[in-house]
Amino acid sequence: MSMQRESRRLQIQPHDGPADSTLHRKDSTCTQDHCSQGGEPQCPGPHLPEDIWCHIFSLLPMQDAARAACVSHAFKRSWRCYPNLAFNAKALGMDERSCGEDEIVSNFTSRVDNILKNHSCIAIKTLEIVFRYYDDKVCNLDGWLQTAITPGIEELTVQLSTKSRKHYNFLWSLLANENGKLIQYLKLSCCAFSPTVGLCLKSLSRLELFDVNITRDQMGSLLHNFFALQRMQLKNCNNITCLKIPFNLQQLKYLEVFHCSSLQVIEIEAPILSNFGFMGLRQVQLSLGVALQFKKFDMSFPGVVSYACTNLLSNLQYVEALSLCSRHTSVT
Amino acid sequence: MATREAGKKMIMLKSPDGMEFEVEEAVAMESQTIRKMIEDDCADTAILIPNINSKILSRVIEYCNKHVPTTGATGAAASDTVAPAALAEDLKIWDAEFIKVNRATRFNLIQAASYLNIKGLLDLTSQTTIDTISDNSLEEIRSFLSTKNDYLPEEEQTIRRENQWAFQ
Repeated sequence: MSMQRESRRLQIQPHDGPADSTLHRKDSTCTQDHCSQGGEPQCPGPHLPEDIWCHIFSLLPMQDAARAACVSHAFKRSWRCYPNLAFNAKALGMDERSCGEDEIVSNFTSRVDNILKNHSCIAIKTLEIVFRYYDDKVCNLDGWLQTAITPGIEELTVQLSTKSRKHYNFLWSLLANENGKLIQYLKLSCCAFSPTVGLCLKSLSRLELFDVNITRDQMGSLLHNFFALQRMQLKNCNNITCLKIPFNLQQLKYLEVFHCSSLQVIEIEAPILSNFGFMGLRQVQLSLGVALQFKKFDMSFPGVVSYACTNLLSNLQYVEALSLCSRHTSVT
Repeated sequence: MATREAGKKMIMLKSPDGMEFEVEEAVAMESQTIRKMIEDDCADTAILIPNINSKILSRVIEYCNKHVPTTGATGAAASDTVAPAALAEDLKIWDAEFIKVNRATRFNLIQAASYLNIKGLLDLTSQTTIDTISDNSLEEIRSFLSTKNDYLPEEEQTIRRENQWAFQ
């Protein structure tokens, strides 16, 4: 290396102190933040490219991002690309205590309609619809999902509750083919299952189904296609009688099954399952197809201790933390 | 490629204004962009970092130096000897000092962090701007970020009406 180059070379060594004061304090005399932060006339300053504004917007809470859209055209464009849409009463600025149910439903619907109408939906990565006053006569949930689910979607939550307890017929076909390619997290609550072809969610690592109308066979055909699944939680899925966790779920580590009232049999063949939890009001027959090493194994139903002593303990040779809980007895 | 102490590979980074910075490879690889160049064998002499002047680049390197996982003489990670919580707290205090810069420098650091793909630095440098947007009125945001209101009155009315829910 030439001497000239040597002379202009700086060597930066690791050091523990704060910023080098001699090098960096001098620029504090030019365009200081507080010359604008004091509300004085604007200082000319560097501008950030729009892709960076989009990134900064993506880190804002949704309400702040929408408000900031009123600052300038550039900010509006960043808001239109906001990737994490959370449609719940709080994020939409609604106070559920101060209005009646009809008003809540109509406000929620018009706000979501409005946002999606102008949004660049191709940018959406996370979509959350949490609405406890869901009314299928007013909310166009099918339309919202059709608009917002595009091949970029990574996380989807549809969490509803209805007065009539009628389940929303979730359009699984929306996640078929390209649209489901990147999805990693799926949470559905109060939905029904309608079989669809081409549903192969290759990236899905976390699945949560709460109060979903799905049968044993439908569940079986779903799970055969979720190769990347690491965590699954089923709660109040009352149509499932037998739950088979197939061998092809090679990455499944966590399984929780709570209050699925018709469930009689759980068969586990997934090879590396290490955390298992079951809670129910009646006995379930558990069959372990492979020698699993459990970090945590919790079961709770009436009579679980005697059931476990007779049927399970010989198969549970590798358990770090075991908890069995019945209504009257508990062993940990 | 330059080498300094035994076992520590050095990398030369060049800024467009002609400054050269010799840094440990591990420090340079805090940048995912540089990491990729090194892994693809595109870094045998010096790496030119376009659009980032020496003043900003030196600060970026300073950040990377601080945040690179350090190893002691025995090869044990520093976190083995110092409690992780204390280490994290120390870094937090250091970060807070580091980011005490004017807006121009901060925006330049944001752009550098984005180009060099250093997530921690991008998050740190973006946070002040995020707080500014979250905590202030529209007029204050415009003033603090030197952003002009380029809406026509009727355009502003439309977007305000559209996003009225966000003001509640």
